[in-house]
Amino acid sequence: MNTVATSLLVLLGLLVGAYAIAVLQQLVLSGPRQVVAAFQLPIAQTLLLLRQEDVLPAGADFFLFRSAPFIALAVVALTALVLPLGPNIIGFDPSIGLFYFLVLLSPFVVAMMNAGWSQNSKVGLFSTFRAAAYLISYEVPIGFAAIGPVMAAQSLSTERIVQSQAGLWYVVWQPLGLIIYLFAALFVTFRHPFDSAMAGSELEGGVLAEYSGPRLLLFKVALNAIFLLLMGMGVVLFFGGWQGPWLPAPLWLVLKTFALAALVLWATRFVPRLRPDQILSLSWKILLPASLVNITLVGILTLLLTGGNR
Amino acid sequence: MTGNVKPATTKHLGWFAQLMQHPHPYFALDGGSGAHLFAALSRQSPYARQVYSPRHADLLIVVEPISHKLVPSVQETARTLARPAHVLLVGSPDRGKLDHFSGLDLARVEDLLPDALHLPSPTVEAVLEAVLAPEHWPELALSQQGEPEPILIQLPHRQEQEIAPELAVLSLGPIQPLTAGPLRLYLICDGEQVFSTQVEAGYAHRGIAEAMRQTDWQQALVLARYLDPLAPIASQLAYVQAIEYLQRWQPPAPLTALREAAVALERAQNHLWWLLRFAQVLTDTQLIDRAYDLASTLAEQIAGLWCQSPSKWILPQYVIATAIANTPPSAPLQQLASRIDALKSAVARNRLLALRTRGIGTLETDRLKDAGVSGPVLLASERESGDVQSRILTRLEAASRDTQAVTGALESKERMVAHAATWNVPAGEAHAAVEGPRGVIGLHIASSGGEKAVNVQWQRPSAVLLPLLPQMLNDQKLADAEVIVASLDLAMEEADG
Amino acid sequence: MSGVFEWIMFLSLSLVAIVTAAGMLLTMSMYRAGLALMASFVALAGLFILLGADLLAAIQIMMNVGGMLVMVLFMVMMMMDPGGEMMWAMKRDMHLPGPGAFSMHMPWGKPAKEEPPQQQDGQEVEWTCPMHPQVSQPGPGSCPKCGMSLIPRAEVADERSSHEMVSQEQVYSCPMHPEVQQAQPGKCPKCGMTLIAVEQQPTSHAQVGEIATYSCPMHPEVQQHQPGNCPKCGMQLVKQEPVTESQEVNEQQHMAMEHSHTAHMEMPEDTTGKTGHTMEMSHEMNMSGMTPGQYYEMMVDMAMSTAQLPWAIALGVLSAMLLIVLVVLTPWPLAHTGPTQDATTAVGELLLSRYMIGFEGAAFLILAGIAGAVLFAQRARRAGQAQLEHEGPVAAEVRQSQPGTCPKCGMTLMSVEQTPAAHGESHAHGTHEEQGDQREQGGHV
Repeated sequence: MNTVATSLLVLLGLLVGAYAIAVLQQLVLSGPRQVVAAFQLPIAQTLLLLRQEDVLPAGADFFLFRSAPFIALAVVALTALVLPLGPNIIGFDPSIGLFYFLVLLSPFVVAMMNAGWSQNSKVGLFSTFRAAAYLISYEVPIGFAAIGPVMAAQSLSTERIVQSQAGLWYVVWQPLGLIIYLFAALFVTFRHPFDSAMAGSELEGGVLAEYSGPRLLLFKVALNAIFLLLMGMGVVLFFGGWQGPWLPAPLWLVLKTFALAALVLWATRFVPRLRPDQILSLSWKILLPASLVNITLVGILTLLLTGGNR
Repeated sequence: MTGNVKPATTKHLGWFAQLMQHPHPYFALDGGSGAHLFAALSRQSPYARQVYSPRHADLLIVVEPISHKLVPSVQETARTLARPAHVLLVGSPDRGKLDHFSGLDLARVEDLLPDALHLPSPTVEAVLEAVLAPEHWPELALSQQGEPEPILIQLPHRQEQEIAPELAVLSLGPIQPLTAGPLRLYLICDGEQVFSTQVEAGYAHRGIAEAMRQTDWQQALVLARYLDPLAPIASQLAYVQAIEYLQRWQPPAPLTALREAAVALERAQNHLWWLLRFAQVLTDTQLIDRAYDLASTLAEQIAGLWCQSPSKWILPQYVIATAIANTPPSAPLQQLASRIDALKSAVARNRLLALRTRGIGTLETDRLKDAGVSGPVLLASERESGDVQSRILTRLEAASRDTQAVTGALESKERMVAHAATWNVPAGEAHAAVEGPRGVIGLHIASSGGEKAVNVQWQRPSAVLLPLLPQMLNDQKLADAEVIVASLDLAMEEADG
Repeated sequence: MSGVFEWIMFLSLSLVAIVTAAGMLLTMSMYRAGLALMASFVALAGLFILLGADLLAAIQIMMNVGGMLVMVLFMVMMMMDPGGEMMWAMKRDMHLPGPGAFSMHMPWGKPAKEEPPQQQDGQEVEWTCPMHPQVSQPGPGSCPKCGMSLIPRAEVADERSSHEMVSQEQVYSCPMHPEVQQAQPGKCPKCGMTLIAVEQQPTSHAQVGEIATYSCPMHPEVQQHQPGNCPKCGMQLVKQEPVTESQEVNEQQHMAMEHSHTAHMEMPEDTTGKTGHTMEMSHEMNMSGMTPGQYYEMMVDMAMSTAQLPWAIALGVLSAMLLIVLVVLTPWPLAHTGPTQDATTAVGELLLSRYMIGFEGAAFLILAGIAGAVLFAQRARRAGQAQLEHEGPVAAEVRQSQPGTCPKCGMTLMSVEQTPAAHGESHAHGTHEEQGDQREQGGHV
């Protein structure tokens, strides 16, 4: 019973979180003049998508086209379990929580790739290849960026990482790690400026071009939710998670997550969409060496700060 | 549409009404005249949002005129819309008149899509209202999914055969966001690199020149205006100038200055709307906001400027004694010009934008000149490096200059003697050239003194760019190729004639 | 977790693992096979989590999703038929034995469009089934025997009539099989690709005065002088060049001959292996019409869809049985304690110390793969200048060698690149939508 309740809560939380991210995005996009619209628009869009016909393109790959949105959502739900909401509030706490989280991000991009492949159209195929390239390029930077907090906390468990930030948040002495992590997070979630695999003006809609109706809704929910979860994990890794005075712990986590998400969304306003090869250069030529530098720095600082015991 | 579009202010719906509001993602099917309409519509309301895949849209906005060649695309798009869907047909004020011209090759979209809501007037406000209005429209019927048409392309030539199995033919269009109007691009790609390009134009061909030969001089004015619906004043002025040359009539200097001012403002308007479309292709939100700001401000000011729209007073030998322009708002225009300058320097400094725009799309100046290219593309190539970024800067500079230059003409208080329009055209040949937003629009007419023109030939600036596309796009990356096409500001209605 | 819940999870995860593994074996689509393998491993990872070995589960997912993905990518890049459509179409049309589960609902190669061929000169149009040529109906519909959509028989006769016409007639050919020519758009009977339009040269009908031979793509022993359908399999016969009939039928020779005779499509004289690859297969899989290199490639392709080759099935089954025997008999020592929290650490240490060579081997393989891909990525650039010809963008039959304006519509002519080879032909026709084509001619203002 506990498991069922937890899973339902997780799904509900994801829906609300996806809604909140959509609202945030609209606020950042259109400014404070259209506040009401920003809150109402995601709900209205949801209703529109639910009403819309579910089009199955002729020749679409039978299994992949139908399963892709569900795989995406399933991955998102599974990764949500290891986010620590409070001192002992966590869905699933294996000793390798962070590793589990990062590893489960790959099937998400695979789901997006399947979506592009299964459409039986050339633009879908092009977008699939781009998505595959981004998948391979984000894995290493995000891994290395996340290793910083792991080294500092000497554990892969998200609970322990949060607890070990009681003294000092990691962002203070690992800012490079945070930046790399945020870049990689944008890669995974296909957000502007790294959205050339699914953007509209690029290749007529990309991987999601042939989806409509409830399936598209599932995809959009999954995309928004995974962005939220990545920001949440960023807060856990670098900003002390649920720690904070006076307010209850989950509220702190939520506030910090939204603050980080708003910051990231606002910063992406100033950048045009990058070309696929520029994205790959960014990942392999800039992020990868930077993350190696980051690991070196963090290693040295860890030894200095924690005295190298344990 | 530039002279008489009233820009819509942001609609402030009451919060309760907003609760009931439904979003309408729309798919824009532009026959060629709708570029400015869609640009203006894009930022009006978050409830009306343009999407690029028909499956995501529940509204299809078709801007007339649609030529016959485009009809299969219209039908295909209507078929691929996810139901429940609606179709909005946006006409133009001259559309009714155009029906009289038997020579024009236009399709009747009302017959194609009988379930469409027809809007004859093109103001942005009206369209926005229709888009946001509650659903009393008829729904588009669910039609049977037919077999998609096999695409016919040319075979790649000899050298390409060697890697032919590795190449993919990507067909963009004919409805794509890169050009103002339909154009089909076949990009034969080796992965992300364009190996060769084939261009298929003609989707917006209406046969303006032939139709002009078949009707009398006065009615041909309507057709001349319709050559480039995004820059009607320039083509109208070219026609009028050619007629006046044949009539051996020199317009008084203030009239010339006023006409030139009208054309200059239209040029500036076009550049700014183009910048908005270009920024939307790149999805640079900041640039989109600033471009929209400037473009809508200019549209407002232009709308408030003329007592009568320029299309009404640019007629052969037509002079009215009363003021054509309102007390000219020179201060706002100057302000706008300085804001455009500020945007220009911001774009020049923007390193992130330069990542996508610098160094791509160049072609030697001599080649451009040989092909007959004129306008910002040639200017950018002559004065600066000729890449996409320089084209943006050149257009912004031209817009700023044009906005500033008109104040002189508008402020002059010279009175002119009224003169009626005269439509008797003596025999002879005349050639007129007007600097339009995309280059020089040339017109060559020959008259035998009769009712109709004997020969009408247009030199259209976008048309000469089309043959250069393969050279510009080959060996570019796919994303770069798209940006290059968007940077050329191709107006397909004008290009196809 | 309660016992029942654990049982449910265990059973469902095991079912998923087995079913997807079976699907990987049986499907003909390489992409689906790679994904099925991924899914199977993810289900196994779930089983690991049930056993409490979280680290193993996470490593399992990480390595297999990423690794399988790279494998899928390379398959898509290098192999001819990664989606399985060709194989599926072959299997369906030729009734190949072997399981084809999880290949269903593949995109169907639809037969040629049922357009009443009005542009042909008033022949009687019969509609017939591509597989059952004896079916004949006056109108379009479905074949009563197999349900396939009927195609007009006139298109077969048209092939011959189109030879006599000095044409602006549109001929459709397959990019990979240039000997396939039809007067209707549709799909290539050999490989299922959409046919594309080819300009017909008035001077190049080699068959003026000669008799063309028609043969079946799958049964090359069937030769006829009339177009029609193969009596063995019902497929539409394709025209063969009479010159090459005598020698060993080499596809590249085909191209060379057609190059000089019909000159409607230029193919290189070198053997690149992929061009001209046909699917001339019968059940005995003789090597008719293929070079040894192409035959080998085809074999490799088919081996990828394991279930189609008996020896591959046998190999797979044997390996599976060997593994099961090893697991059951367990010739190696096992610790008989339950998993503890330290177990994951122990496993981790074990992996890092003793079995690191496995990781290093994998890393080396990946590097080798990348190096190979980089080498493959060198492409011969286009060489030589092209002599520019100009054509009208809207009315593509207008051609001239100087730039100028189209006499029909006044548009500036666009240049069409042409090879300097003196075949005098160009590829400009066919830039019209085929439906609007006829109307274009008439409605052109």
